[in-house]
Amino acid sequence: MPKPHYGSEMRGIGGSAASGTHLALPGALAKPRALALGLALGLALTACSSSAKSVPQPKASGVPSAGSSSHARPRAGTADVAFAGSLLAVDNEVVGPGFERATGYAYTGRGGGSIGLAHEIAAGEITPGVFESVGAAPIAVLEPKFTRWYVQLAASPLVLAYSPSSPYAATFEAVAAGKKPLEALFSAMATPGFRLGRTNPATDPQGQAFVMMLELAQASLHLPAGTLEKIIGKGVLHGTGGRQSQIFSETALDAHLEAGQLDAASAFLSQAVQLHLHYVTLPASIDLGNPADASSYARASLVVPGSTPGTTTTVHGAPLVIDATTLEDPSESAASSQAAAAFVAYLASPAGRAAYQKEGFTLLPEKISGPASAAPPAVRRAVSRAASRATS
Amino acid sequence: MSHSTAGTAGAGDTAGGLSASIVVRRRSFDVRAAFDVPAGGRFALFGPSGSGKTTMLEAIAGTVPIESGRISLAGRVLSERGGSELPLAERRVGLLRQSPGLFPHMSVAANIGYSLRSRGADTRAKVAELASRLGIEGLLGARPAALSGGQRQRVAIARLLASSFEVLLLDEPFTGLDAALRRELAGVLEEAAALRDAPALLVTHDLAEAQSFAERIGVIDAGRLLQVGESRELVRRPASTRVASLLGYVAFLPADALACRPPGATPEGTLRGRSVGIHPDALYMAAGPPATRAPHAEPSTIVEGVVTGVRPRGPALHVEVLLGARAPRSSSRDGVVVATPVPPGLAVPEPGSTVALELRDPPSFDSSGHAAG
Amino acid sequence: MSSRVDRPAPRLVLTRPIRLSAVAAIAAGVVVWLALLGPLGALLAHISPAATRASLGAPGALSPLFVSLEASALALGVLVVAGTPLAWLMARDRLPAPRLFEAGVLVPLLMPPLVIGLLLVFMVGPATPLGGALAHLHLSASNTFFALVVAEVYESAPYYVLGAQSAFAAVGTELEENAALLGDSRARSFRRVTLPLAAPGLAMSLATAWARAMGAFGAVIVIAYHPYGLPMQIWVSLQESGLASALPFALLLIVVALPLPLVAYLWSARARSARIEARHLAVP
Repeated sequence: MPKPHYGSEMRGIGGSAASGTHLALPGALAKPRALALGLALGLALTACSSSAKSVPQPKASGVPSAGSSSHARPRAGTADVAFAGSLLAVDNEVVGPGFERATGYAYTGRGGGSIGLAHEIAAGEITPGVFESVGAAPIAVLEPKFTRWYVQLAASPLVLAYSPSSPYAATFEAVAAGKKPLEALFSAMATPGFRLGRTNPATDPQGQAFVMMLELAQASLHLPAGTLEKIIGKGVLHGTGGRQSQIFSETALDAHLEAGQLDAASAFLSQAVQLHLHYVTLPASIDLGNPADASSYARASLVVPGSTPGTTTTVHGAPLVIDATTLEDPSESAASSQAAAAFVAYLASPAGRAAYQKEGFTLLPEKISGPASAAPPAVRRAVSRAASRATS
Repeated sequence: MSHSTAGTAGAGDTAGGLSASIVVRRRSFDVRAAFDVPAGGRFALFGPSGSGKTTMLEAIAGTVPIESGRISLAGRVLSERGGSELPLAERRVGLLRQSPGLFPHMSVAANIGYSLRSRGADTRAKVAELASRLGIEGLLGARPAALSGGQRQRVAIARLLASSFEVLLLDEPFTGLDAALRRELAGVLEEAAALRDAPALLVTHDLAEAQSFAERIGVIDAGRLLQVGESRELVRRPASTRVASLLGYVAFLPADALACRPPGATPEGTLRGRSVGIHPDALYMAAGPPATRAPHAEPSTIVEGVVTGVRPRGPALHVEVLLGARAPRSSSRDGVVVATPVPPGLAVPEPGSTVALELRDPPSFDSSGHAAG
Repeated sequence: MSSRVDRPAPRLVLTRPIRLSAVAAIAAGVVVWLALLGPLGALLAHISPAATRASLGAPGALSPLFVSLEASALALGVLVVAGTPLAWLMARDRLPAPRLFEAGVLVPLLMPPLVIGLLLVFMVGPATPLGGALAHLHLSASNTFFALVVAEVYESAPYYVLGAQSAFAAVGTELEENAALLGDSRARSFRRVTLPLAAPGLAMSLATAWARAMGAFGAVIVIAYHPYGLPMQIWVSLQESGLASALPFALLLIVVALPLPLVAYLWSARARSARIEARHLAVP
């Protein structure tokens, strides 16, 4: 779901963008603020996915710095977190600094596509201590060598973001306000010449989710036959063809939308909130954001390239859930392992959850999947505390 | 840039002549000059380095834009104030610089034939003829980088002669070449200009070169054309002490500081307050009183000086003589030492002795440095 | 007997002892060179023949190569046609504010390619006036081959224009003036003198621009996700199935993109040394 990375050229600049520096852009551009945000985000992603790590400055979260009584005593150990690109803002700006203050450990973060990150971790290209993924499938790539468990944190429902300068903006607004039926949304998208943007289903969970959302909509909303093909082209479900001109890289997609060059684009609710995009929420039955609907989501499926060239694999719809785990690495120091466990525990704490909720994620009850005994004690304690809070 | 300084320069506006009256803006100073060179005439611009003479030449060639003025050649306007500059290709100007500027990627033959459009037999014949005239027929297949400095300049001249120029512009083209080669190449160029009845303009800081090439010389300094004159007359009658010192005058001594013989031979009244220009080449050891010798066409003055030394120079002995040191109100501090050959048949004077020198027709200058009428 | 005396003394092979500092300098040079080649070594060490067969043997696997070659060739064509006159004007100081023009050419060089891509969206996106004009020509600069060419032009242009500028500057004005004074029009002297003399330098800058265009990624991923050229294919393969299947494309990129710059470099080095040798042979 993730927003992958981009170009190794950009490390230095990315670092500064991630630490809260915004690029100044010519005011003559159509939407300077939105663009600046998009650029900063894009640059940050770039930096995060490269080997240069960005360390957020405390001031980025607007909290008083050193000397404040809220600070924990500094401790050795760094939580090195690889996260789905859609978590960039919340992790680097809010959770990371909060974690440092609360625990005294240091934090570094890198964002990227969940699947891509999993491949990089599996290949030994990067060695983070924590992996936060959208969906459990990327974590499965790492089992059992790196981890055998994960904890579910929050859901990230899919929405349709749109450009207010689009000729279809009025239709979207009306649908968002409930003044027009949802079908109007899909018939608008099926209009010839509609400029839709989405991400690559071959590499990005969001790209897969968007196609499956259309499948679910086609079935559950009883759309006219062929609507899906009119929207994204023929053959997409079978892993061939489709309208390639709709495919954008995860970062560029937002930039194109904010520049008014697209009528609408797929997005996570959290992204739409963070980037102040205009968006239409979708019903839980098709937005892949509700774990309770997992069985109906599973009816949607899509063929994508397999993990060896020339092969294909079929993926089924599943809730878009943020899962986190710690990664075993023999070369890692004990302090780093403790910092990694402390980070996941912090994510499960009330402070971590509040941050996620504020940034547009739907909180889910914490639940450890896999053998609970494999999870570090700190994580187990945090999860059980959360469970007792929920029951009380 | 007043035209009057060059008023004697001749009739450049006649058919085939070059007429230039220009101002060129430079960082340090503006270059202003006006002169004419008649068809077939040879003119030299003489001045120290940095005086603006090359700038003037480049302005005529068209490689440096003029600020104002007018350059015309054989009735065609090359440059005129108000922006009209004839493109280089249409000026029909033959420019030869100190650096030959050969095309390094072409053979000598291709360099020579560069301006010849056709590739035919007549082109080859013309190239061969020019090469043999300049003695480089054996180098036709070579690349410029393999040539010596003299050979390169020969190729550059052959290339120039192949083109259809109507004025010859020479910017110290012989610097660094030996004397025999200079004479040979200058002869080729003079002949080529004469053949086409084209004006030729040489820029040089070497007075001997200017004099041997040109009939008329213009003296230029700090961007100004100070004086124009016939080559020998100019040296004999410099218009000012500034021009005189550029032309090789080594000192300007107050007339009353010179010890004349017989006493009072030079009436003090005519020279009082003036200074006399001393040119080493216009100074001779006197063989005796003027009256005893054949009358000269030019008046001369006998002056006395003290021998400070005797040194060989070339085949002759030169005496070094201190002039003007005994002057009661000398403005030239301790006088000046000049060297002059001991003529055959005269005894070599002892150092410390007084010797009589004949100063042949010296120019004199008033207190402001202008030539005295 | 006398001939023996006249015989020249045997020539010394070494005119001076090899100094330790010279050896150290060479060693340092080799170390730096090896460090620069390190990534290539890592590539060759980690690439597996099986994965290479799988990646490059799949149907359509070579189409990114042809996309890259075609787009880069077109981008180079655009650079030569549009960039050469600009470079010449800059080299000859014929522009009103030469420093301003140089700074302008440097801008796309200084901007991270990703940023160039993001800004190109605002410049030539379908909803912009320029994009509208392109649409009249049935062109779109969003996820098309044309967009790929545009991105490559922006990423490689500064390398060509600045390189060509210095190639022209090295020719100098004197020879051009001589050609003009000998009767050549500006175009003719450019063809007969300027171009042949600048050619080795132009070839070098063209080769650099070629390498940049072939490897262009930052701007490409923003405005031309599709069609895949080699850099995009490397990225997508990495995302789809990991490093092993991406590396063969990286090798392909190097194998295809390297010969042209290499030939250009050897040629310009030979042209240079030929002139120097000739100068040494010249005996005044």
